[in-house]
Amino acid sequence: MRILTIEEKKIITPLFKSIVEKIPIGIGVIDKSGDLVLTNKKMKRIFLYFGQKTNLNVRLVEEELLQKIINDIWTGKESIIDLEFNIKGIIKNFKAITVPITNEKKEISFVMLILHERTKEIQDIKRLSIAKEVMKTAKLIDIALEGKEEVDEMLESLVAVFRKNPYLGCVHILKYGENPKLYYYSSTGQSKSEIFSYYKKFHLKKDMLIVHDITKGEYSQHRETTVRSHFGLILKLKYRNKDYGILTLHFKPDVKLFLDAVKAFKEIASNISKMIYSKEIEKIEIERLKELKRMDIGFKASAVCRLLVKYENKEPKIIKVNDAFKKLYGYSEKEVIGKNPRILKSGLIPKAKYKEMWRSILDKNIRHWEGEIVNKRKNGELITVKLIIDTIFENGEPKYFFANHVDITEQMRLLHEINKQNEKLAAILNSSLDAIIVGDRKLRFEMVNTSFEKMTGYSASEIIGKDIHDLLMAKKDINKKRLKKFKKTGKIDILGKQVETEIITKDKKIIPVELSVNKFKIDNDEKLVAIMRNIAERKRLENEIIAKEKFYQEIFEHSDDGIIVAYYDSKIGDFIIKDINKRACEISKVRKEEAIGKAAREIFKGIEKIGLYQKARAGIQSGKAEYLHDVFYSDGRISGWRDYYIFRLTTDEVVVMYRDITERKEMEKLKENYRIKLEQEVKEKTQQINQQLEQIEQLQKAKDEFIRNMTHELKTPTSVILTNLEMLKQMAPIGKEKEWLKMIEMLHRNAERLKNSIDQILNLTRLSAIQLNKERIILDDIVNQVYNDYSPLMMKKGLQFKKDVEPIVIMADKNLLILLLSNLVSNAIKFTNEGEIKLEAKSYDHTIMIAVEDTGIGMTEEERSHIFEKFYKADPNSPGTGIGLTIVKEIVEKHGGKIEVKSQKGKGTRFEIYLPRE
Amino acid sequence: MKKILIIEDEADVAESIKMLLEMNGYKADYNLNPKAAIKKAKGYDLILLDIMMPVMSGREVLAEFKKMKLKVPVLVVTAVGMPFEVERELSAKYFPVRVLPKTSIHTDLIKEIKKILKE
Repeated sequence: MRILTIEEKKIITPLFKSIVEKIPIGIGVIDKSGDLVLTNKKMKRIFLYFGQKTNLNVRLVEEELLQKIINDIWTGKESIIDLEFNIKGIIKNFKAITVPITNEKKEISFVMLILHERTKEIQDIKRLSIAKEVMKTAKLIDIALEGKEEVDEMLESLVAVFRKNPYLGCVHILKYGENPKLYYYSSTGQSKSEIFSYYKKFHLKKDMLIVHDITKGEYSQHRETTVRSHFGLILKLKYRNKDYGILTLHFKPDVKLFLDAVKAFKEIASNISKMIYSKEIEKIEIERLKELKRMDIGFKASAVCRLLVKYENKEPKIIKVNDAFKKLYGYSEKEVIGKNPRILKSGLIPKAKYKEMWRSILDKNIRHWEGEIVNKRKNGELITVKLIIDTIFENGEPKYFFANHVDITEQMRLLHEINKQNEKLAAILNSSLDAIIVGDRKLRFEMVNTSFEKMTGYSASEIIGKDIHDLLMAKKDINKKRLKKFKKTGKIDILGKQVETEIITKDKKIIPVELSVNKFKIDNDEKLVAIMRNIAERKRLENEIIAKEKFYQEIFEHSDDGIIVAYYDSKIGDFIIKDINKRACEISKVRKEEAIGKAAREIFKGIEKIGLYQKARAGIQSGKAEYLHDVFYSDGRISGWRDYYIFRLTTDEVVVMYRDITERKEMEKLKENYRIKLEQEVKEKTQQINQQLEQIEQLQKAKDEFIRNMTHELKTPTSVILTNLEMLKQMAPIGKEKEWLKMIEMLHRNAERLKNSIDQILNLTRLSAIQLNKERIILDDIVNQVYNDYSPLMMKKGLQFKKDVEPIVIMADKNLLILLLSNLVSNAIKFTNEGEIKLEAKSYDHTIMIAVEDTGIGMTEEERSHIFEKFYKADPNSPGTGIGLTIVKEIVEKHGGKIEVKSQKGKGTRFEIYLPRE
Repeated sequence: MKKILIIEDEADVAESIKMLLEMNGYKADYNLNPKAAIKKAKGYDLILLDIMMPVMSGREVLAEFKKMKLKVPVLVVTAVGMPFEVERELSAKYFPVRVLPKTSIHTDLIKEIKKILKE
């Protein structure tokens, strides 16, 4: 540390020195040459921490950083930056604050560097700020020590400043001297007298300067001989209800200098308030810490091309480049400073890439971008660079970009070249369907192709360097001795040969392969190349063919058809038998060994006679299959019926398949005879039946005809009898009227009965042939008509008639319906001697029901089952023909209806007729 | 007095009907030969016609009547078939007629004639 000149001592006063010494933050003062002229205890300790000597030259601090600091500082600005010291591998973060120190001419003669370890709390940052301000003040006040006596007025104005400034917290202003006076105090919880006595104590020890640090609760004293009678100015700073520091300064009252002091205080006050209360500043500091950490500090000396770009009004401008830049791009500094970095663009990069770059570097949270870019040199040459950009933010806005350009053109070209070569090689290897292994002399995998990977399941990466033989060979067919010899001498008998062996895949499957191994040399390095082909499929096919052959041989031997395989020998002019199966031997009664190799016509003498030989000749020429059905083979030795099937093989051999159908033929003959016989019988029987049916029909017709003729014949005389009887009634001989009438009545009754019987029989014979004549009928009308017809008869027998008929309309043949009801009612009257006849009609959805019920003699179950039979009469002596109910049933059925009877002997009978409505 | 012609091949039947009609106050003639009867037909108020006749059947007679466009009502008397069925058939084939079964002559003939003659 150099000795200060007298001039310099005026600025770096002993007072200044002593204050600096006491402050628990590293403080150093740097002169324009960058040398440290003053360091305090803490600073020394920081340097010690890094194992450096206390008189460490500040040049050791990164030059590039200093450049930045000095850039700012020597223009009168203060600067707060973050430093990262990496000495002996230990990284320590410091906040560095630089404060310019000016001389009387307001020129900056020194820079005060304040270092504070970042690991401490934010509180310390505050304290650091305060310390900085205090230092500044101390210097100014020191300057003001010479001079004037009257200060009251100035003090008043100072008070006014403090009063106006709400951020300043508690301020005491007091005057020292013969009559110490407290000019002003703001509330700190201390009473006026306390403060006053406190300063009085100082007054008693005139030559003492006290630095009072409330936060630490200790007093530090320092003797300063040059200080005598002073005014004391106490600055007490309060932040979040905590006192941060108290400083007592002593100076001779000098108006001009004090005015300066006031001015300085104003500045201090505003700075302090800014520092302490603006959270924004906190943020900025933290941001800067991050930015500067990443900042490249070896800017100029770096061999890497670097640019510093300023970002102003959304326009990037190069403000600094290093030598490497000039070398890389061929531009001189002049040509690029102040320009937009886009002059480097090649125009080959898609806009999107730049967009993405800008988005990243302008984003507060990213502020970084890396990528490969093709740029253009001044001479138009294209270069590929790896571009790394970091952004520095100031007051939340992007301010600087640090860009590193690493030339990777050649690298890219080489990479491209290598890739191309590799791709070519890989393409060649991978296009091979065979698995290819490249191995070294020690039989280790060096390279494999995709076919290999597919075949074995191993990926190239997992086997490179492993032993080929150990890993792959299933049989381990090269014994250890040979292997050892090979590894030693490179000689092995399988080289250049094709062998069949087996390999084990990753999932332990064994695959048969065809393997050929060859040696070749690259740069005097012997390599092995093995080509493997999976022959599993070939093996499988081979086995399959063998199995199939066996299979067909079995079929051939055990076929139910006789099979002969033969080929035509043009020299002999006959077919030579090549093979003959068991069945053929059986049918043709030859032995296999007898037949094979012989001419066909020699063994089977009859084949020409039946045309088989000719067919086989034709078949072998045309290639079409030939048939020979139902032929009778005979050769004097054997004979029988045969079916032949002849076809040509692709080998030009002919196959004859045949069957002995003699048995079947005989069976067919028998069957045919039997069938003819059976047919004849059926024909005859059918004829008989038809004849019988005809006879029956004729009989039926004759019967009907007879009945019709008979009834007609009966009708006419009956009619004459009845007509004349009617007239006879009027002609009774006088005196014998009673007997006359009785006889006439008897005749009449019997003739009437005869007539009824004839009518009924006639009706029945006609009924089956009659066509229904359906019409809409109101049922009640018919019931009334029937009732009217029969009421005299009922009255005569003293029977009641009851009617329960719903209004029903029905589609039916009116006359037949009347006939039906008439028959039922007359029947009921006939068999009822007392009680009633009831007629009922009910309507259902699709049917109607008509019932005739009586209280007559009724029927037994046996009787009931016969009543619809023609001419059936329960009592042969009862009147009637016995066909009335047969007619009823016929009419009902003709209408598609049905009839039901319920009867109880002695109680009565009920007939229910169901007819469809339509 | 209304005049009725009876065309009936059987003399007994014809005679019986003639007597019955006359007893009931009609003037009746009968003709055993239908061909001769046809010629006389026009002069009557009603014709009683038998269907089954050997020389010329009642159907042929009706056909002749149809040809002649005879206006005289015809009551057909038959011993064959069901009367309503015969009536339906004949009325459809020739012209509307009434049919009476032979066996009902003694009870229904006079009633039927009265109906036809609207007496």
